[in-house]
Amino acid sequence: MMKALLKVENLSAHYIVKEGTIKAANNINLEIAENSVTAVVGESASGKSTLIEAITMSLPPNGRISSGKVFYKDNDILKSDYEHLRKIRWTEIAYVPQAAQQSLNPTMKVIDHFVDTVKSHNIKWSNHEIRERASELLKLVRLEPGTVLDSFPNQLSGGMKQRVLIALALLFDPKILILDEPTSALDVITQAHIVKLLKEIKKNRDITIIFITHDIAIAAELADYIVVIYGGHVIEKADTIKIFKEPKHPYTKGLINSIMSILSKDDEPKGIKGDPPSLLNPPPGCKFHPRCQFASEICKKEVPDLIKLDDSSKVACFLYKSAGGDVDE
Amino acid sequence: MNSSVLELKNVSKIYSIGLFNKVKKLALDDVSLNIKKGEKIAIIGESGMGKSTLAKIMCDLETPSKGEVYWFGENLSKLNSKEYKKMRIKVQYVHQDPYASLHPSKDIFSILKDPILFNRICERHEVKEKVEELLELVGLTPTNYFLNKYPHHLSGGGRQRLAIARALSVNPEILVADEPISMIDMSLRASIIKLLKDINSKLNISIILILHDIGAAKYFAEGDGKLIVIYGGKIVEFGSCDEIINNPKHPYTRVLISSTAVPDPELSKRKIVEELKSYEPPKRTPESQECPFIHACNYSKDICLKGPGLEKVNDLHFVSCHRYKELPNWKLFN
Repeated sequence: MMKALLKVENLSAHYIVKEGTIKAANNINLEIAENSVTAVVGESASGKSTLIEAITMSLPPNGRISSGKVFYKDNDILKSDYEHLRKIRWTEIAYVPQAAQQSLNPTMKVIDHFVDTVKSHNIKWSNHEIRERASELLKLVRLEPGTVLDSFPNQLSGGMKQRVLIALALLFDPKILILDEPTSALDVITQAHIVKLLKEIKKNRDITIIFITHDIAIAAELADYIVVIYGGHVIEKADTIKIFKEPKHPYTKGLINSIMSILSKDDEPKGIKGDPPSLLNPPPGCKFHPRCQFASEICKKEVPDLIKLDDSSKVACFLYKSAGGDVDE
Repeated sequence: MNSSVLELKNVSKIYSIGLFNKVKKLALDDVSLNIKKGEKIAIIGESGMGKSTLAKIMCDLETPSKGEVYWFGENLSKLNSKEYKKMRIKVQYVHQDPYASLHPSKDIFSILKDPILFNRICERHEVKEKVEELLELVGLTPTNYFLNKYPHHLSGGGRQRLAIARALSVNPEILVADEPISMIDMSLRASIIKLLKDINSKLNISIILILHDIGAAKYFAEGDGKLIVIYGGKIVEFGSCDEIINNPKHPYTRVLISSTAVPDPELSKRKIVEELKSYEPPKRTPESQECPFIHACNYSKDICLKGPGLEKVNDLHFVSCHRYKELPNWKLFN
């Protein structure tokens, strides 16, 4: 593994709601290598977005980071003051939130979003320079700058808005680009188009991409590394080829088995029995044990640690010993 | 040959929008279909292509602007209200969003009991038995546990199962499900499709499934099922599911198939995804004559300005493209 650009240590975050606390991220450890693409995969309400929002310090008002450190270039982001954060955000770490369709201001033209972003980062570019830079980026995401720059968001389709946001995120050549569900609200064809674009961006630029998805098939196409999250815990981490060839955690296996692909043979997709856990009132021990066919007594009591199996893969499951012994199926 | 349960004849739907309804939008363009008893059909296409309009017209939740709808051989516009009522319950619709389609303050027993009693499906003392049977069928077991629960106790998958049970409570012969898995967690999607497959084979109910995910459509309809690909309100390809997936003829179907993500990191690198000329949806008005895909298609020629009709490739496969014979041979991977 290359040098880690972003390092998350024991990060925990929770939300305070009327009914209690929702522990959406528990003791998360991550290392993001420079110039890699990492996919964070999990079901809805598994804590994927919370993890990203905690890293970028953009949790909603009822969200709290209870412990942990996030190192970016050896500085703890979580400890930095507002001014420092302001400098890093968007210039070094750009974050495209979920529901990109609603992220653009409906009363502003596309070009004004670019101008606004430049101005708020106190960068002295002339309007002409901004326009030129914006056109260049829009061309990169294969949009026609002539028409798009002077359009209002409501004149653009969903895929176009998503592409405008990606262009906007690349405005200051960030080191890290974080995308929350970049393809989920889009149609299949537009989705494939965005995936292709992100692949090109990855190839042609010095950029580290982290993206969140609920669709592990998209991760197969785009990611170098996959992090699987379940019930607010990281349960498996490995490189993409390994995850698809030999998934370790029973949940990862189930998730890969439940893909309905055009390649799958008769009756292959199975799905996982049971329902995802509620984070408000999660089951004790391993969060997956109520749905797991291999669950034993210890799974009901203790939370398994994320153990290292080999250089590139880690798993949090009592079925595995850290020496790397495989358990029969 | 089984008898036809649902037939559409040259159905078009025009929506009037804008100020004084002056803008006319063609949502469905001359669609003809014939669905037999016990068939399973998946309709795929992107959003805004007319899939939901088609589903609603099938269920008589929307009236066609042109053309006729037949249920069990009877023209809907010619039925009197008594005959209509009798047939109405035979065609059921499952909504997309199970968080919005179930009554939040009714318990599961009432949700299933009310339509049964209202339509006098069985005697009052048999209702509990019937409800338990339905819950068992859709996999909400143990039934006693679920009977007095409320929809908010269920996950998205559970809610969708309940919505399906409710649709089945009146013994329908046709079930139309509009994107039943799009609001459901990935790990539960396959099981919902499996449930619909089982219902089709066990109860011999015709199921029409609207989807945008071609993988799910394949899982549902492979074997003896049919596939309809719809674009710009027109059926562009129609036929046996296996035949279309293995040998798509329409340029749009090809792009749709190659665009779906392949869950294999090595294979996905070798996948061929064709660039389209445009990624904009078609703008169609009632005057539109041309092929709906013309603005995006890499193979379009002058002949495409006059829209093609459905042509027969073989007994199981129909395509609406002038140039399908001239297209390069189909392959998904390099």
